[in-house]
Amino acid sequence: MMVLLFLVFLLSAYGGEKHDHRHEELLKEIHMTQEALRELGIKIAPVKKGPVGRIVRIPAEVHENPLLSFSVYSPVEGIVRRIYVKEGDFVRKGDPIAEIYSPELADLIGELRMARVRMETARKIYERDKQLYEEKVIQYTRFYNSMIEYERAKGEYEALLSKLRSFGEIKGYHLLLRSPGTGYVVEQNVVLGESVGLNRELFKIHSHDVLWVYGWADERSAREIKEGVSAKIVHGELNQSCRVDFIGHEVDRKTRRVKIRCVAKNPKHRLKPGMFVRLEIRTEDGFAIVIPKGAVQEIEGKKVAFVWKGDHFEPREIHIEKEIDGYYVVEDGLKEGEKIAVSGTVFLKTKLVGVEETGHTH
Amino acid sequence: MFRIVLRFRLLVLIALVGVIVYGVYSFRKLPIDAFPDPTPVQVNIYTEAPGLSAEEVETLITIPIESVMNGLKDVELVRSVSLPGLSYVSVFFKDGTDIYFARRLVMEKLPDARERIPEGFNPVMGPNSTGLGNALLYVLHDTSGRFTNEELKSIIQQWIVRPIIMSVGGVEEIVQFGPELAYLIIPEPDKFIAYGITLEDLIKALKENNVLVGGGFFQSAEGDLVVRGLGRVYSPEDILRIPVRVDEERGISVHVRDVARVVRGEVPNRRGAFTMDGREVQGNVVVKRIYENTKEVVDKVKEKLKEIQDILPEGVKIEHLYDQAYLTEKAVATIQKALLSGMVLVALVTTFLMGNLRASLIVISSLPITLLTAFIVMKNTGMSGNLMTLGGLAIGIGMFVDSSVVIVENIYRHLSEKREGLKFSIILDSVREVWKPVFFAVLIIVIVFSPIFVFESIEGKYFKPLALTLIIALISSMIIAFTFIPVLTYYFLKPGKTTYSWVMRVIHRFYSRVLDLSFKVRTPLFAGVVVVFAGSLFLLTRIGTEFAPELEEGSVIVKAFLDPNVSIEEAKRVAMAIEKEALKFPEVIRTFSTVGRAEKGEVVDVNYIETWIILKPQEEWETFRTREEFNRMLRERLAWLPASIGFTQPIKMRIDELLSGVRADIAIKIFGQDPEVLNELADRVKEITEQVPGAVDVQKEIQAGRLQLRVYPKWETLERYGITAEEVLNVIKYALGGAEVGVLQRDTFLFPLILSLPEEFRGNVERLKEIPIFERDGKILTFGDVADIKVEPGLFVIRRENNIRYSLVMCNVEGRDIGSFVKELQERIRKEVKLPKGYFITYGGQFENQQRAMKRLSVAVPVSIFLIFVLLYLNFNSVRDALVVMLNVPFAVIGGIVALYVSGFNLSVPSAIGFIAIFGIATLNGVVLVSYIRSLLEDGFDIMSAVRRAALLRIRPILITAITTFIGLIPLLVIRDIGSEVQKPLATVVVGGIFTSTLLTLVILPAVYEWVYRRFAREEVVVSGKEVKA
Repeated sequence: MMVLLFLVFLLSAYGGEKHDHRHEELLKEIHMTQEALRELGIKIAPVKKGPVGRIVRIPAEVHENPLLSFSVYSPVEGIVRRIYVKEGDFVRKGDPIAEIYSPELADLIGELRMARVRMETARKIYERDKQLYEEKVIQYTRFYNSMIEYERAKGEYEALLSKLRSFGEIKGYHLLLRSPGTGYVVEQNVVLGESVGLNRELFKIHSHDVLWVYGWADERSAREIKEGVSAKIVHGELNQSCRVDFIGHEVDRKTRRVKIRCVAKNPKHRLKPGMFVRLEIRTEDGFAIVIPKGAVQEIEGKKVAFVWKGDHFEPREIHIEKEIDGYYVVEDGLKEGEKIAVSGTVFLKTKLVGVEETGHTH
Repeated sequence: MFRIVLRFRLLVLIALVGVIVYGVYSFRKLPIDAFPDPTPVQVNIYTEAPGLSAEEVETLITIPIESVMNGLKDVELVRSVSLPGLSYVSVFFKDGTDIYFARRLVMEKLPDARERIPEGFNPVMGPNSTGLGNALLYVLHDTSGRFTNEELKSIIQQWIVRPIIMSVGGVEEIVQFGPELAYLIIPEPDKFIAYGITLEDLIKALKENNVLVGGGFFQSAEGDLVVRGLGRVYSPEDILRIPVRVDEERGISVHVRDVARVVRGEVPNRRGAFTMDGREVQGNVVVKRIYENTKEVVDKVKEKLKEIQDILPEGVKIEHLYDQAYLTEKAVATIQKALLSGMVLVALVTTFLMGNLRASLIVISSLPITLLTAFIVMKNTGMSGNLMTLGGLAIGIGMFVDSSVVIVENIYRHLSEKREGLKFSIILDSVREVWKPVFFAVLIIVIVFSPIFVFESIEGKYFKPLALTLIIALISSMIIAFTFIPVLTYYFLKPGKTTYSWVMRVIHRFYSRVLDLSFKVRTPLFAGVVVVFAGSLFLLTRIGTEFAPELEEGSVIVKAFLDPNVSIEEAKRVAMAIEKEALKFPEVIRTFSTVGRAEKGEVVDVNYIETWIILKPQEEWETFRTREEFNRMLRERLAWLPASIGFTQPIKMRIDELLSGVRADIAIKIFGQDPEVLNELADRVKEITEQVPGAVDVQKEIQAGRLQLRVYPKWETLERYGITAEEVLNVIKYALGGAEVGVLQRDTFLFPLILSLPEEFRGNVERLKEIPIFERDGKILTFGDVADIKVEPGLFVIRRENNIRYSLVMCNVEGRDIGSFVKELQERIRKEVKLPKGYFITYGGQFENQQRAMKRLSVAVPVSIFLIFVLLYLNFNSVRDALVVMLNVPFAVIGGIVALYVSGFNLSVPSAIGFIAIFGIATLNGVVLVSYIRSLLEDGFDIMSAVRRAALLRIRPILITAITTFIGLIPLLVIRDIGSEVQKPLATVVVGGIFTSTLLTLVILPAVYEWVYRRFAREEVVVSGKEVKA
């Protein structure tokens, strides 16, 4: 019995000692001279806050924005008499593009003129009859008739006029076509003198001011990406932001990826439709303390960072919230502005626990 | 026989000239080495297994190879190391097995082994070299800034320097450090999805669009045209042009340039680097073939290096850093110095004691002739001149004159006494008179040295040559004494006026008084000797033990272990920091380090650094006086480094490694199965070891904690899409393992093409998972689809010996002898470490040899002493006389032990050999005295006057032989140069032993003999009937 008690006592004493020993180890300071830091390549950097989201990098292709693409059709059958632009030109909204002569239009103009003459005539009769009626020279019936006549002529004229106007801007007997929007003339399907009709697209004008970038995200990333977050378009040196406005509801059968649309303003027109680019999308907003993974060593199952205290390092256990692309988001253990070692920390670990202890898997 | 010699004296003289000429020739042609190469017969098998972890290497490669090799004929031990990416199996054969036969056996079994291990891994035999094969180190470095290390290695070293040095006879291999030039194809996996291609497509395209075929001949009107299919890439642009696949959706062809970049860089995943004086250079180790003479190889390579410098591009320097021949030269020069000064001293003493110039000149002339004869034998039996063989000669120098001394002395005495006789017959009679005792003496020495031939392993390789050369020379000296010497005396020796020089007369006068005294105080004197003997035996227990004193190599190696997860860049920083600290000592000429392993050879990873520190000659040391002191100072200065540091010397390190597989004085191996348990036990052992006084540089080998990137195939997915695990691993091999996807030819040089993922993918598991690698059933599958990728700690190195795993604790010993250290350590570990069932601990290192050697000697020496006794008995036909002569053995032991104790040397194998030597020499003294006493008794002298007369008459030969032996060893004791360390304990013991044994032979033996003669006369009658008649 006594022996047993003694054994228990021994064991507990041993266990307790071991525990203390371990605790002590983490409290140890690691002294390092500047020279040693330099030679071992240990770099010190202040702890900073940074965005906490994971950056999803996905391949993407730049597309035209269908909301900002324009086609130019002739509203009438006719002959192209004049062309103001050519493919590749940049046009602003309202700039003249082409003039079209249309016999239909000419007829209409003739009719309009006739109608106007009729209207003028009717107006004069009406005005005379009105005066006569007021002087009680003629009867009301007659006045009324001429009024009706005038109204009709006017109606006829106005109807014709609005018909003509509906074709657009008329210059002489020609219809002047103006650009419906700002953009590049990306297609020109007409030459001078050609006959055109309603089912013939004359020009295509695309605006590159705002482009759509379609990316293909894997399913997991797609789930994490929120509509409305901003993203980055990376292509060589190009680095531009955009806003995610659509996340696909279907998975592509071949690549098994989900379409993500990002709307990009393109004021300098450096993005071009058809480009293969990379989208970098942060999955979450918000800031927290993030440190490079290289700053953290695992010692006996604990994550430890090394805080620089002017002439020595103090190992400190930290808690990691999560890991993002080579960085740890620190839950607690470090304050903003504290200086920590960010490279060569494997050496600090060695100084702390010795080379051999690495083998422990507690 | 002697008559014939004398009759054909002119012929003998001519033969003498012939022997001298041939001897000089043999000496000059004698291969020179530092010391006998102790490498056991050993064949190493390397298997490169890129991408496999240590566990996998062990299970898949090491164990199958081991099991095949275990069954080979004459295999004694199979040792293995499994590292990530490398399996190393050492097969040790029984000593004496022919190495080429052993390699043949292994070669025959290799296909068997190959069958049992997974395809694609190719076990190959290591270079046919020895543990001491690293004969020379040189570096290439660029002073102009025009060449990178990659270019230095892949262009200059590989294609210019290497072929020249490989052509030198005896060079087996050149192990090359440094980065290797490669064209890296860096894919941009982001674009894969966009183009709908996969890694598999890319690898396939690269492999299939870079081929060269021969098409035989095409007969045409212009003649037979050689058909060549030139599908090989010659430039990075060629690679970029390779089409990967047709994108059907867009109707375009996707080229390599669309999805990848090509850059010139280094082959990734290298596991080693070479730094010098604080920067990385391209380092090379020249490995010599087994049995080749180091010095010859080194000399030839050095010459080539000079020639190569002239053909190198401007700015590129080739620099020779270290070679083993340096030590050889130093050591051999030291021994030669000892030999030469020994000869001079012996000559002086002989002249002094003989008192006749002609006589002593003849005696002295026997010395060089003896040595030359020994050289002839050595050369023709294939022995080399080294520390041990030449050391054997240096030790025996005093003994080699003995035969001649006896012969010449006798001839001279007779010539001087009987002036009127024929010179011819006087000489003949004189020789006939003494040839038997001379022969007998030599026989005794030969027998006395015979225990050394029971040595095996390293002690055998070291000390057998020593004993053998000594015996060869001794026998030669005897033959010379019987042949050349009588002829020489015939021609040159004239009768002297007096037979004794004035020195001898003084000695005689003094000695006769001492004798009187010794008869008077016989009993207390003898009791005193017994007490002293007992005391000296007690002293022996206070003397430490070791295998052999350390050789001073003139350079130091710092071994540093770092955390197993350090990168090569980080390791290089530590190496350079060590170099910097070392260079702060003005005594350091140069430093350089090897980090990790080169492409072949060492079984280490980048967390292991060896920093070589080349020191100035010992005379110029100021900051410290001994190497230990330097080690201590440097150890303190390196304390700040995040590394586990140990000290050793280049050649010592190799020998330690050969013995125990570990580069330290002592290796404690803990055997068992579970790595976890082994690790814990090793921790405990390390703790205990650190507490044992004398332990320094205690290191536990790191065996676990290596982070691994593990790829677990997702079997369901693979099954669903009909992908085999091999296909997955194949992609890993190229994408992560750095396997060549082809070569790029520039001029006549071929450079590897290697796929290398961009940084952001290599360092990031999540990104890695996104890389599309297969397209199956119209679906693109990424890495993450087909496999789970995890970073987990795993084993770092797995060591096995005879099929059992072990972990390792190693340490060096300082300020204490190894023998007692090991004893204490074993004691403590036995008490304090409780081993689970199936676990056991062994201890390895040079002390093992010491223990084994001592064990052998503890049987062999008594046997040889008994043999001597038998010889003596046969000679005297009297147990009594034989026993009296044997009294000299304890006499000699006293001096040997005291000398050892006073000088502070340990009881090592050389000192044990010293004891063996003095047993012989001391016995001889006794024989000389006792046989003379006996002959005087036969002549009718009474016992008292016989003893006295014999003692007085025989003092000269006894003194001459003792003093010559003694004096011949003085240079070995005094010289402090490199190479003298090993022989010093031997010389110390012999000097001490000879001193006491001679003293006691002269002072006590006569008195004892007289007493014994009277006391045991009656028994003697019973024992031997012959005696009665006499």
